[in-house]
Amino acid sequence: MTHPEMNDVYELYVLGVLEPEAVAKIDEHVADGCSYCLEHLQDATLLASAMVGLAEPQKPPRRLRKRLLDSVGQPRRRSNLWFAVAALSAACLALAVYSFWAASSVRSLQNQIAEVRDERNELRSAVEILSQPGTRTVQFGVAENVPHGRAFVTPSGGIVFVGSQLPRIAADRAFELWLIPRQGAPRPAGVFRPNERGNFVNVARRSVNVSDLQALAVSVEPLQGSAAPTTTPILVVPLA
Amino acid sequence: MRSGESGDADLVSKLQRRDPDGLAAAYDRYGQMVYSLFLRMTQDPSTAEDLVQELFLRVWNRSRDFDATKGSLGIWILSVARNLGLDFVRSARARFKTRLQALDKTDELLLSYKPKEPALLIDSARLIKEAFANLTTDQKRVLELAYFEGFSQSEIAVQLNAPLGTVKSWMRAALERLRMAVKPGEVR
Repeated sequence: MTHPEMNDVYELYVLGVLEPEAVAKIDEHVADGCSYCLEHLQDATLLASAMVGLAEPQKPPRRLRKRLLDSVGQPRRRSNLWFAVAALSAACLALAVYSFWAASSVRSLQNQIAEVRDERNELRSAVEILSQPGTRTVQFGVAENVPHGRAFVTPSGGIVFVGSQLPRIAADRAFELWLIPRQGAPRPAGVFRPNERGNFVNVARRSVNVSDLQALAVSVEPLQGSAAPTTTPILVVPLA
Repeated sequence: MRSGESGDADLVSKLQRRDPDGLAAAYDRYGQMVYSLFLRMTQDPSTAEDLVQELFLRVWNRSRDFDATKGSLGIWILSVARNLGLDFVRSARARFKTRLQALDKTDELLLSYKPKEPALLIDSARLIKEAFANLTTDQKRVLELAYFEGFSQSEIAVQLNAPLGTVKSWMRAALERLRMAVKPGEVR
């Protein structure tokens, strides 16, 4: 990569979103003390930092400043009476905060329990489907660095779609599984997002006539899913 | 620079003496910017507040390592802020207390960058915002996905269902417009 070619990517390097091969090239130059690269990286750093201006300005709540300064032990000089009033207020506030925190913790635990329960139900459904007679297994993808996994299709029970290595998607997007019939429009078969390790399981409980199916497909859709694919599928698994 | 506004050196000096006024000044100068950034990235005011707190405590605890004659405090704060925000959005189930606290490569690199007056950074942010408003919808989207969500160009191509070459073209044009806004007349 030459310097003129690098001119377009210094900001991407600083932002940490440059492809690994290009990062390696710039790293080599920096390690060699390349003054051209260092100067352009400094400019790119200013630009990248100033991109904070892309966020719509929002005023932080006043309590945040106080909370921050309190956490480093901001010194105070107050009269005894004022100190007593302030201490009482602080105690009341602490009690209120604790109550709020405790309520939040309970809600958080309830949410976690609900998530675990959902996962358990999902797995239970998957086991039911997998244990049915006549389940057909279709493997897709073989290399480690591309989407790969298995689809289990049961004529009377549904579909279990498991695998890993789907590309990362924005927080407001999800993957949607589609049944592609030999004739007619694709039918939705569930919305899912991979877990933190990039693995995914999608269980679709719907009766499937395998002989009518040509393929399964996955596309990127809004979180709530779509009635029909709105983007080109990133993965197509032929069933023929 | 606005009248009466001091540079980062004075502020860093206070931070290094463990003077809370230094932290208050740093917060007053950069607090709204980083809160806006965190709010945009997380879409959650409570999380944004937690991240602001963590960011400035990191500044407080690491200020002794900072050399104001060699580095720019504002650039450092904003870069660490973005990394903190990306840590969060990249992990949908992120647990606040278990996030990695180690310095990343960008943190270290920034400590050796030449100083910039804070007013320059603040002014540049304003210019960037104005330039951004004049970009095409596609150019805005690729910049937002790269900056706020940390996606590479190939990941953005998948997101937008667009050819990689087209995404690179949008990105190149968008960054060029922003460069021109910050440094008028410069063409690489």
